[in-house]
Amino acid sequence: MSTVPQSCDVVVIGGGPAGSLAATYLIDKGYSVALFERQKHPRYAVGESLLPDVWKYCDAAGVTEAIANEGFIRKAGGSVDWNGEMRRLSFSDFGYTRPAMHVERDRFDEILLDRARARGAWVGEEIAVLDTDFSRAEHDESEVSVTYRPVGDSLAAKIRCSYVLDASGQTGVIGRQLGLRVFDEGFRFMSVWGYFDDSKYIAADGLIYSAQSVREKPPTTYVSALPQGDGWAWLWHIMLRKTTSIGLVVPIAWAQSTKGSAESWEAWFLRQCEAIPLLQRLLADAKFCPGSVRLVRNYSYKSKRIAGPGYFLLGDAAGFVDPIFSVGVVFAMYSAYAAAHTIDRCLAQRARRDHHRSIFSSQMQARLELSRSLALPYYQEQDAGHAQAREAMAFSSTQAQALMYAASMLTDRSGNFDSMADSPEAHRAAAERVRLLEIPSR
Amino acid sequence: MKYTDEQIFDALASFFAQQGISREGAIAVAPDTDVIGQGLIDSLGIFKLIAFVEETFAVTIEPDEVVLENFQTLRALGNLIAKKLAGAGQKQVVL
Repeated sequence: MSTVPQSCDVVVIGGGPAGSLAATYLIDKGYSVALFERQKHPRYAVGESLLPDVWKYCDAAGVTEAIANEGFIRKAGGSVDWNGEMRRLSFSDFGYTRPAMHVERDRFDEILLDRARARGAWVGEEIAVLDTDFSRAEHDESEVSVTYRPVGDSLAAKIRCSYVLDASGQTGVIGRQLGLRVFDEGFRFMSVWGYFDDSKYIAADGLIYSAQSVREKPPTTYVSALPQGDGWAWLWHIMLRKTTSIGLVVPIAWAQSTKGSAESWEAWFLRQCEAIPLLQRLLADAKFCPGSVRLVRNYSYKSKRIAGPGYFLLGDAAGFVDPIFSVGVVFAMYSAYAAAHTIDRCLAQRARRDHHRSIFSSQMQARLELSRSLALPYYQEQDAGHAQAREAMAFSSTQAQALMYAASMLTDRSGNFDSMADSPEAHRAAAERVRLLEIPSR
Repeated sequence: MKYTDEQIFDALASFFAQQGISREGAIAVAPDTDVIGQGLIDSLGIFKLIAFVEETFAVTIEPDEVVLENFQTLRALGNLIAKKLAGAGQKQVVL
């Protein structure tokens, strides 16, 4: 690794999709970028389902071919078992022509980071950002400093820049430092997941296939309400190339009250999986990968401010809600694009930087509120963000609204959608495209 | 600089042509085309469109003006721009 530069235009904290894409977009606009990643790629991350929306961001970063050549699993849509009814949704029915995917995030993220490096970003892995100093940014946004330290090193050092992008995910380096993060006390969720080899899966025809067929019969993402949960707890089943990612999203309080005091999270996880008959059928010949169980318990939160003098928050560092609609990576990529565009405008017109930042903030907050309004159980019309969320919904294409409505219908959250949009057209389009299926196990 | 309503519309239509957003030219963007509902302006395009309007007409689009009412059609956006330009012109007269 070459020496860390002493200064650059933009420092990016974090080498996930938000950080790597933002670095690439900024380099392409002619700015110098230093990116710090605490871990070393490929780094562990949960296997994930990606919406077809990711392609336009890959196009803009010139990384589409590398992603396509990797041969990730193409998914056929979603199969959702909620309240005893099984429904299917297929993206092609909503006019999408490019595939949705199931990706190993360690590999997906590595491809994006390689792209940033190849374009000319200075990329430092295993370097932790300790502190950021914006005290002079109010007067001059070229006066930001970032303190970092290589992992295992005792000496910290500083780099100067005009802007810092916080793409540090749930860690939220700047959000924590400036006290920007606000948790939703009524929706404290956690996620517990693990991996299985040789799981069967459900294809678009609603039938069950063995793992060997995953290339010729593309899988759907199988989602099920947890019958033992409270209607907001659910599980995912995502076929990957060599293994299957299975995870639970549950209220923290419920998980704690059901876990035996001597029980491990692994044992608890396997016990919950066993309580779902259809999942058991898929796992009949599967082998659990011991030691693969992980958990995250920081749901859900937003940020009081999403940008300020000298900084912008991206992706999960800005906000995080129930991942049920798979919008996390798309939001990360969107925020990378929006931040790169905004920094370009700010550096070109320094006198108007407050204005450009305010456009970024309002667009990002509206989009976050839209995700929250669709996913959160207790989202209220009197919630301060409701008007913003409604506006963001109105600003979406009829096709996008139909897909959001369909997704909310599948999971019994259509009431949320109804409070957001008065669009008979989107309702009709969604209702026509959601198929009721026979539940294979019953 | 003074713009007629027609010049404003032509400039906005040229933005869509430059962006290649009018899909192979098959969809002509008329003054009342629903550019949001039809997906001709998406969440990325809106940033470019705001920048284009601000640079071309030397006006400022405030965050709370980025609403469906002002951006659903080029006629609506043109009206917003014309109102801003008229406001700026009046100020100059007063000065």
